[in-house]
Amino acid sequence: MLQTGDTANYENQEQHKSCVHCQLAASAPLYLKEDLEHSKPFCCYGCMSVFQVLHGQGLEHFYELKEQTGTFKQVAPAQVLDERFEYMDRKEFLDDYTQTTLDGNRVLSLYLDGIHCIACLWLVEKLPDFCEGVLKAQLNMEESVVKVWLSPTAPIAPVAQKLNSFGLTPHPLKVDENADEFKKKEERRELLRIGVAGAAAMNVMLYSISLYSGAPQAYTKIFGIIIALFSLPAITYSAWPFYKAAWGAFQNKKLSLDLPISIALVYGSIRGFTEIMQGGREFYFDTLSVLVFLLLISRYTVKKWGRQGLALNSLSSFLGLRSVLLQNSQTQTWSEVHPDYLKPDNIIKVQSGQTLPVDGILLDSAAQVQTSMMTGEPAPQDKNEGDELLAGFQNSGASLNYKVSATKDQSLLAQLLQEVELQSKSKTFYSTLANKISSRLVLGVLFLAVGVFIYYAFQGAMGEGERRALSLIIITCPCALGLSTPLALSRTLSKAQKRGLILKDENLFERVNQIQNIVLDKTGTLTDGKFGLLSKTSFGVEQSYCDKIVKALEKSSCHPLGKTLYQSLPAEEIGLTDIKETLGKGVSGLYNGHFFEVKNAPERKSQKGVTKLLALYQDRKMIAEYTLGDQLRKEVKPLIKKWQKKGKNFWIISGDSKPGVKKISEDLCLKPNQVFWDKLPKDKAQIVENMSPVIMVGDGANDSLALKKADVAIAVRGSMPLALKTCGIYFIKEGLSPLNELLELSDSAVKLIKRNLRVSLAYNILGSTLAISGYINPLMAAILMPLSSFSVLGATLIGTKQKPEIDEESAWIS
Amino acid sequence: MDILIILIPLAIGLALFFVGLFIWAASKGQYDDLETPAQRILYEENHSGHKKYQGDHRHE
Repeated sequence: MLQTGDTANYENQEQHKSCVHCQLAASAPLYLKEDLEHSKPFCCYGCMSVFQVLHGQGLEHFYELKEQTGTFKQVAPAQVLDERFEYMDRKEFLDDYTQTTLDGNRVLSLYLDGIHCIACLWLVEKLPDFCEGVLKAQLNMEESVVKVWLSPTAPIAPVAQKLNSFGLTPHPLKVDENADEFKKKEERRELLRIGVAGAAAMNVMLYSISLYSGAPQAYTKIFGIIIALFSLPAITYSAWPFYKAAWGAFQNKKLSLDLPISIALVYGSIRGFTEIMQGGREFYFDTLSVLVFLLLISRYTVKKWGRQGLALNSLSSFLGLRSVLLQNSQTQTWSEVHPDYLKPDNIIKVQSGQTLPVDGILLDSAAQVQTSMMTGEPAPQDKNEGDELLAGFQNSGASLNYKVSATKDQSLLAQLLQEVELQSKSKTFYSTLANKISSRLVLGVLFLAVGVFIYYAFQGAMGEGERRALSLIIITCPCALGLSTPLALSRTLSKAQKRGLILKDENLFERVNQIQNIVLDKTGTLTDGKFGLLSKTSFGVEQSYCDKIVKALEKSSCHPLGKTLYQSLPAEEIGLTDIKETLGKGVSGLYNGHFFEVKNAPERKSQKGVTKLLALYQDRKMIAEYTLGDQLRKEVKPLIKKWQKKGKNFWIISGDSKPGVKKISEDLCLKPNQVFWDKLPKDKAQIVENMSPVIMVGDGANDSLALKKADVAIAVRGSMPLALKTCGIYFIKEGLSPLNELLELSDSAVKLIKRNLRVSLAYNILGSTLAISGYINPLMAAILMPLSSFSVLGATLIGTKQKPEIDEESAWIS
Repeated sequence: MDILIILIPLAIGLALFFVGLFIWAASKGQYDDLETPAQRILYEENHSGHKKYQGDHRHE
């Protein structure tokens, strides 16, 4: 049906083609059957199917739009789930996930995985045109959330199915309307505060400047009152967050950056009022309202810039499990149900490749599951009728039926998650460099200001002392510390997210940079945890002949090892007759009158644990042997070399047996004392604890104890929910290349922060000297201070600039 | 300088008017999503079905 480049030479020419749908490089392009000139390459079947669907629906305009406007988020090849979303029309789901509007229509929010350009926006909002019952669809691109309005009787499943067929995987969001509304209101209030402060500052300036430029004495009082009235909303309503934060920190016996600001505001306005009453011209109100306005603006900008990228709170929902088929106990028919609604004694069917959502008992006579998430064991396990199955296992064989024994929240996995969550909450707070410096700076400035004031008070020049103390407090307001550090970190964070690294806390960059010891787990990180063909030998028969027969036998095998074997053998095929697969036994078939069989070879001591042996038998005589095992990822070696040069130490701690681990450590040129094997989860944790401070990279539940003990814990792809909870950092991409990016990003972020700190420290020393010696007045200070912070912020922005082009290396591997 | 009797109230009135306008716009949600509408305008002319249903704006 589909053609692929067949000769090696031909494929080389195709290397630079990029996928028509997702624009990523298509190294082995696929083409539509009717596309004879090979003008439209695709990187995968997902992208191709989306392309076909869009053309079938008359939505080709999608590609025109995309060409005109470009993409704004990193794209991944389209993924089309084989799912019908029927569960979305069940009553429990409707009650939990949809709201009813005043006119009786239903509203549903879906997180869409794969939104990346304006064409996506166009496509999604066109839903009403081709989905019966959809009244309106509104997408928020920043959050990748679409809100769908449906008529009361319209089914939801077709809508979800349609979105899925476009390559936008829908994940229903449970909308807590109150929390949502609250967040929205809070955001609007923030904006209002800035607007009010800005208006106040500008109008106050109007009257202040006329006073400064020599307005007649008769106007002093009336202008003073107007100024006071205008600045009142700025120093009360707009500046409220400063007071709140300063007070909150004070109650916790901490000095926050908001404290000197609050003191300056309160003291300045009290002095301003008494001055107006006494008919003087030293109001400070201009200073204060400008200060509030500029501070609010810089904080708001930092927040906005920092928030670009993935909203972390939506992660939990899209790591959620897919629906399963539930058997109706009376009618024996199957229907889709969301794992949330499974109850004990339900009988469910889980498709091949799917993750088991709940614990239960196997009903089929035999099944194969991948248990690596719970046990770390990469090889698939055989299970028999009555065996216990745990949530988190992956079904690696054919579809299986099992009886639910506990609801999703009571599964072993869920309990483990809860425990981990509890423990991670009690982790001690790590104070960052900026934190330490800024609290010292605040204390120093306050003491200095009081000192200056007292000094001048004793000299009899209270007014002068006041002015200088106020200038000092305002100009040293450590904004570079308070703003640029979080900005640098959050910008680095969003950069990391775009490259497939998810960090729970931006302060981790600083930690990663400091810590020299990096512990790696073998399976899942150094190797891909999947089996590959390591070696093959034949006994007295030509190797290629054996390969052909094995390839033909394993062609339709559903055993994971069989599949691996099929994929790693050369393409030539021959026809065998009477192919039979016996689950757990092997495959057999007839060729030229001979009886061939592929099954497990007798185990040998040297091979134990790490590798699996499969053998080909001709008429019950072994003629060839294939060794399958974990393979070292290709990016690992250069990466370790590079960072060893920069002073990082790498360690391997594995639960696997000696030969495999030893071979890998030799390949990587690690010293023998840097490698541990045969370690139980508890031993791993012990080693990690003794090594502290340490970064640990791992997967699987067997690492979770050790990960908890590590100062920075990193989970790699494939270890999904469990690791995500334990770890501060999670790699979406496979392999170890994200580690390289993480180390590089941390390195540059820390360099930038240190540079900013030096600049702002120098600036503050200069500023405070000028303020104490009386060269600048409070108003000048109020303008100079934000100017300096803006220059530092600008430097930070340039330092963390994103590269617009998508490099091939960071393309997601899925 | 008698003109100030008119100018000052005028200036104050103007300021209050624009602040009021800003407060109205912000609380109506004009600034809620700054990205999508800007993008949406790029294709809206080809888009017929969009105005069918305006949704339920309960929060106003």
